This record gives sequence, structure tokens and C-alpha cells, in this order.
Amino acid sequence: MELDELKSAWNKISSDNKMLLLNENEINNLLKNRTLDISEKIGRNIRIGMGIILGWVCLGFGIDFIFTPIFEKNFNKPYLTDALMFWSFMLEVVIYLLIFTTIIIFWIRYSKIEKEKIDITNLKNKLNMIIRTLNSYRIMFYIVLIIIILYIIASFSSGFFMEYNYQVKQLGINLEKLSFFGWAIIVLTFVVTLGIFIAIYYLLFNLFFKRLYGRYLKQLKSTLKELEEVNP
Amino acid sequence: MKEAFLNIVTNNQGIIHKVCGVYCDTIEDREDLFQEILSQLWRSFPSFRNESKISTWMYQVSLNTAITHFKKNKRRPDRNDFSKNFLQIADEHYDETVEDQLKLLHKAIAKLTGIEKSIILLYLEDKKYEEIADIIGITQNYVRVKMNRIKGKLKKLMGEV
Repeated sequence: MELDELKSAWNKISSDNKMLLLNENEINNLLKNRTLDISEKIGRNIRIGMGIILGWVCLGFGIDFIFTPIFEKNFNKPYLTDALMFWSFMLEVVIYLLIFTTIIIFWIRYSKIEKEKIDITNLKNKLNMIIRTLNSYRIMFYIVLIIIILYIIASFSSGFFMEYNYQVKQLGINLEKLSFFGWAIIVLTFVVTLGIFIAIYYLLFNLFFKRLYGRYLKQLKSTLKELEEVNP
Repeated sequence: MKEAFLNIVTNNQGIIHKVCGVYCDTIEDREDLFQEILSQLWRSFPSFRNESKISTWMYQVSLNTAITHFKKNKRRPDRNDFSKNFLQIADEHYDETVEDQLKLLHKAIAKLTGIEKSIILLYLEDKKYEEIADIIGITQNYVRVKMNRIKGKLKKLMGEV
């Protein structure tokens, strides 16, 4: 079938189709209830992210000041000293500050891009703007992931070895007499458990970003590449 | 200003419907895109200074929005969905062969890239290469080269379909 034949078929599509036609009032209503565009959606996601972090901070404070003292009393873990609690608290504060700083830096970059007066009738400019925004968002997302993973490594390692030392003392185990196999079990347990935690966090974050914007970003980049091929 | 805008959009909404029909497979997607195009047209309206034709401006904004449109959920496209509204042929023109040709064309177009879709849409709308180049923001030469590639691609795709 030749394209010219299809062209004549296309011309027979009724653009005045009554099922599709909207009147001025309906168009006005659609405008009033307009959906967010991609930049606005990212802005909304950042605000949600900040809310989640704030919730996380509150939860952290609750755990540190309410649940941990109860836990300490009931389970008799003498190694949870005041000094340790202080350092654990400081570690959390540093983590929250790092995450907040990352988000604020991203917010500044995002606002800068948003303030640029982009001519939306220019496809190349529009593609570039969305790609820049999404790239910044992706970088922020993975920096936050790295910070969280470092936090997991620090808190899991300290927790694991404190419990280990405590158990050694409680059970009166002589570490000098521990066999190679015994050491291997301890190290393996540590590495595997930590690895599982890191993998879960990494996969969840990665999956979340890829499902949310990954495919879209790839598609935009490929469109821009296609546009620049013969139109640099 | 809003009155003028609503008047222009109402009288030229066929452009938006056709763009949505080419870029979307489902009614929900078409509704989302229609709304987003409207919103982008409204944003861009203050900078529209009648330097270009209204149709050129509407095509530019509509196609750019469609190409960069973000689909919330990747729904499994139901190709038959396309025929529910968009593929309406005016009664006086109704012809089963024409409808079959259009379904075939749509299935083939769905496999083209975003830019290719916009070029073929404008070609089917009888736009000259100069106007297509102006709307998409590429050179006429590129339109010519692309058109030849698209024709070959469509022929092959329609053969497969």
C-alpha cells in the first residue's frame, strides 16, 4: 500500500467528530483542573521526599529517646552506654544534615532551571531542560542512596561487633582458641547480612527511580540524539 | 486574553485531537495528553505574537508536548482502543476499506520514534516540507531525508502488520 493512498484515507478522518469536540466551557474546565507537567511533578516529589526525611528524623528521635531506653532496661544490654548513644545520635544528625544539604542543593539547581525562560515551541530547548532537571534529580537520588548505605554500614558494623563482644564476654569464649572455621563463620555472617541489607536498599532505590523516570529519561535522550543527528 | 485563547483553541482543537490520536494508544492516555497540551498552550499563549500562523504555533506546542509527554503508568496498549473515538470517519465518507487502511497506518505509526511520528503526521496533514521544518525546528533537508526513511520504514512495517 502506498503512502499516498493512506494520505487520502487520513484526510477522511473527521476532525469535527462530535464525540471528540469540546465546547469553550469544557475546555475552560479542563484548564482549571489541569494536571502537573513533568517539572512540576519533580518539584512535588522533592517536597514529598523532604516530608519523608522529616518523618524519618522524628522517628529516629523517637527511637533514640523513647524506645531505646525501654529496650535497654528490659533486655539488659550494658554496652548501650551514654557515650555510645551520644555517638549514635550524632551519626544520625550528620546523616540527616547530609541528606538535607543534598536536597537543598538540588532544589537550588532545580529552581535555576525552572526560572530560565524556555521557549516551549522549541523542541530541542524543551528536551534539554527536562533532561537537565531529571539528571540533577537522578544525581541527588543516588547521593542520598550512598549516604543511606554508608549509614547502614556504620550502624550495622558497630551494632554487630558490640553484640559480638558482649556475647563473647557473657559466654566466656576465648578468642585465641577460636578456630579458623569459627572466624570464617563470624566474618561470613557479617558480610552476608550486611550485603543483604545493602542489596535490598540499592535494589529498592534503583527500581523506584528506574520505574519512575529511568525509561522516560532514556527515551528523551534518544529523541534529543535523533534531533541532533542532522540538526546540530 | 482567556476568551481569545479559548476561542482559538476551540476552533482549532482538531489539531490537538489528531496529535493525541497519533501519540497515544488508550483513551486515558489521550485524555491526559489533551489536558497537558491545553495547559502548555495556555502557558505559551502570552508569548504568541502572531508572527507565525495559529496552526503552526498549535502544532509546535502540541507536538513538543506529545514528544516529551510523561506517561504515569506503562499500561499495556490496547491497539483496538484507538478505534473507539479517534478513528471516526464522517458518515458520508465511511468506507470499510478506508477504516482498515487507517487501522493499519496507526499500527505502523505506533512503531515510529517521536520525531518520526510528528513528521508523518504533518505530511499526512498536507503540510509542505518548509512548514514541517518550521514546526519541528529542523532543516528542510532533514525533513526530506527523514521522510524517505519513514516511507521505507512504514512500507516495511505495514507489510509486517
